[in-house]
Amino acid sequence: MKGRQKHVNYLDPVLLSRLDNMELVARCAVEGFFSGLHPSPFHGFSVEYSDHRAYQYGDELKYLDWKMYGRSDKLYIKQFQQETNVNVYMLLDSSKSMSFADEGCVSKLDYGSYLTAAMCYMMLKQNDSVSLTLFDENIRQWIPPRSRSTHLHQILKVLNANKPQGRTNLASVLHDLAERTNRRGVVVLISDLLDDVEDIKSGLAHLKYLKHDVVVFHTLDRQEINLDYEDQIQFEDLESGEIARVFPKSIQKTYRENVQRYLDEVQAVTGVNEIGYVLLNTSESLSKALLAYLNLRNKMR
Amino acid sequence: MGFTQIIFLLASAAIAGPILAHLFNRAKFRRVPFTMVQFLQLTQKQTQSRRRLREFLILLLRCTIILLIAVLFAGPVMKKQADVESWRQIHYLVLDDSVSMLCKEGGYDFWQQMETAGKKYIKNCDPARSVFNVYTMTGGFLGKNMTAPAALHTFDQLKPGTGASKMNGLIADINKTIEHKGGDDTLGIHIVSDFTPMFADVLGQQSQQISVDSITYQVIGKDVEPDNLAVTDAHVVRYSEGILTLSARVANYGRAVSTKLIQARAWKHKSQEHVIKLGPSDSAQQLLEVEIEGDIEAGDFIPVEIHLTPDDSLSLDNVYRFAVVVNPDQQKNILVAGETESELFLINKALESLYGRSGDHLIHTLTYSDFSNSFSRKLDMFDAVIFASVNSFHENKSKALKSFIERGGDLIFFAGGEFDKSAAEELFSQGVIAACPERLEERIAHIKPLNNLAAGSNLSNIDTELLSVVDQYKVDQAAMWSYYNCRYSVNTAAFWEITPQANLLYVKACRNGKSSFVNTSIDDSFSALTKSPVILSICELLIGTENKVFSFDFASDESVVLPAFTSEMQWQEQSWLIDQDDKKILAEVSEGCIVCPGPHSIGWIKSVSEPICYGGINAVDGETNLMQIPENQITKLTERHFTLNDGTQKSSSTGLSKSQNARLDKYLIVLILILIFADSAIANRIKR
Repeated sequence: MKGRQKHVNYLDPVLLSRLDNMELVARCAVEGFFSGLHPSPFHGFSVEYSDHRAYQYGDELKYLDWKMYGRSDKLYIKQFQQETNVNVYMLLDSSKSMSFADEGCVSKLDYGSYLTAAMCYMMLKQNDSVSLTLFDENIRQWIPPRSRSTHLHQILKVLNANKPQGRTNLASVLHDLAERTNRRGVVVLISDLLDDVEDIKSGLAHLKYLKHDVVVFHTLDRQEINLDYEDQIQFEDLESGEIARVFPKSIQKTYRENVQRYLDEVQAVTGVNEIGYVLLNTSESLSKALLAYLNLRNKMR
Repeated sequence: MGFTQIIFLLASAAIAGPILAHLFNRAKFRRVPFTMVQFLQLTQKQTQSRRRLREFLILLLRCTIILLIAVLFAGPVMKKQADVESWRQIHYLVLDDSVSMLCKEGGYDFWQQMETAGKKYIKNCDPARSVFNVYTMTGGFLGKNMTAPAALHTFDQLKPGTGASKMNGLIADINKTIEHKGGDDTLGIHIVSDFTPMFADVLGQQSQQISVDSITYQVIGKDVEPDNLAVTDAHVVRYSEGILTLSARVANYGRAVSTKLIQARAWKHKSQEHVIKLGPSDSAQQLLEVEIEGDIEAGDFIPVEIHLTPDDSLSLDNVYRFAVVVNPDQQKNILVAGETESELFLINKALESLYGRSGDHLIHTLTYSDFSNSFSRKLDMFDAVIFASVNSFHENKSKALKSFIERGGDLIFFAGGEFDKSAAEELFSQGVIAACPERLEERIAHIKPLNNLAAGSNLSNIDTELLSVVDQYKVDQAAMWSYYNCRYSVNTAAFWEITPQANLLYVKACRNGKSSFVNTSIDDSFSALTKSPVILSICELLIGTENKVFSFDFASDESVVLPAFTSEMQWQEQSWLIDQDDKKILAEVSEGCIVCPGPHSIGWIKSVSEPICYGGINAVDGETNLMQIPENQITKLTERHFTLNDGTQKSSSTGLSKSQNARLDKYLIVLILILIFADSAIANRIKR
């Protein structure tokens, strides 16, 4: 249990936010994540043999070396040399709205950055090719997919230098990305999806049409979901500058209903297109996102 | 609609407060950057209009509350036009029929002026609508709910009242009328009086304030300066060697300096005339001596009159009458008072045997419960009162007892088993009891021989010779089983020591009389002294042998109480008296007294049966005082006790208004309370 507790701490976004070095963030997140899991199910997905190891409870039987069993009457698992077998397109929303953070929490952009860094680190370790796209209304920065380990430094450098700005225009960005990808892969979208649902739908449908596996990490702050403010407040929209003067307590119930309706719509859109959808609260651990990705990646096998 | 205090309407400007607060002191919003503002706006649109409406409602409510409070303080009255068909004018005509109105100064007759003014008031009223209640200050109502002719007719019955002025009946009746009168009826009071200080006293005694539609008055005799000296009190100072010495108090109740001759007359005997001169409101005491020796027999009543001559504006108070009873045979009236009949039996028998031997003294017994009725009056009828104990009966009676001693009475208190500490303390502090019993000692002690005659000899009222005679009875051989340790003052003489803290007898002189405390009970429980001749001799010693003079004078509103001397009369329940106008009055005989409740005609009252008892009836002190209170004080007095229904004060002779003012206060208060509740409910809703 101690080990489990340790990795959970490593994945705490607030804790990660204290680390200046993004690489360290990525390592802490990923290694902390794996240290709490059973190691074998996620050890490589390659085809070239590399080594044997003793069978452990939970290993899939398909990797058992039956010939070895016949010879030695012992159960061994075949381990394979990892090789790049998929392109992962990381899309991080860097619009102004992503800078929102409740008191004591990390911003959605920081959270998304940590998640991006951790996933890139993990993928590159598995020799997947990773691409990073930062966008607001348009694609602001595009790093093409590479599988070299040094590619991580480039990604982390870009993430470090990233600043929130502009408004969100998902449809345009997704269509643009679809045009740029010439090989099917995994598209990981990290965004607060503050755009028209129909636009989001069309953009995602385009990616899906190109046979990409898409997973959407819908990142929201807890206050965006709950509106748990006291007193009377003048809310100013980070992107549009719109103002709303309200007594949050008096409209809290209706607001939550409206937000829930919106989330249901988004979920319906992703469901129609068989897109993985994970709602992430920035106060939650990164492990939820990492686990969701690995499940998706496993399915691709 | 009108207002009684319109100035308070200015307070309605305070509504500017909530309006300004609404305009300028808008809610302060904390600025927070946010992302999903479109969701907020969606929700906000639904609530904002409702919120604005509530805010406006609150503003409206608060302004209304402030306005209503201002209006409430301004005293709103709704002027309702009286119902032409049914409204009545109810008039209370208050006529001063007190003896002061008998004043005649030159050609000005107070009484006649009062009648004229009263009639004029009635005639000036609308006969179709007016209802009259005619009230006299001493006689009460002459008639109620009368028409104008009937009201005028009551003036035939009007005659001077001899009782004291009072307004209780009037106030009670006005209140009753206010309760039952129709909504459109009006109520007015008109007072006709000479407004003497006595009138001011009577009006000042009313604690209730009454709302009427008009209050008017007419002052009688304000332009004249009547001359009026009055004998206000007289009493016997002493009777010695056939000379009756009297003291009379004379006051100037007129409005000018007055000089008169004063003389006392008893039967055919007259005192010397003395000149007496007094300025307005001055008073003086005058001693008068009348030689009456030879004409007096035991128990005879001598009518005495103090005359002031010549007559003045009000002759009624120029003569003061009182009957004097001189007791030349040293006969004494002795009262023995105790808690129960059995308690009194022993001492009564002892005294009867004592005085049966020495003379014809009258010994009466009364229980405390019988004695408490007309206590002061009964005290006056006795020369000596023996109390069997000091108990709660004596509480609040110390003043009457003190006065009794000062007038020459003898008080003897025995130490009974029942003892009330607070009563004893009160009597002792007032100087009524010679010693204050403090603690009961229940052990045998012997009385020591009398050795302090010197201490007793400085008491003028103690017969030292008799004291030594009493000592011959060998008091010092008696044993006490119980006794009280006593506290006594330096003016008290103590005889026969029991212990250093207790003596058998304490005597204290007080002017003409004396008070004694005998430290033993009358029922043998303290010692056997009561059964021995010792105690009888002590009583004889204490009661003494001096002559007594009684006087009988009464105010016209008082009960006349005359002694029922003969044993026949004492057995009767009723007895006839004749007053000044030869009118026969049936009086009750109770506890040895003939009692006849007042008021009586001023003059003499006497019993029909022999021996004839006289009582002098005099005007109530102050009723003949003709000093007049200033008109501004009259206005203040009437304004203090009568308020006008529209809230304004005016004292005039104008008629009654046809319109009636209805107060709106209670409706406003209810409305304000409802609005305050509504305000808090809406404000609370906004916060949520």
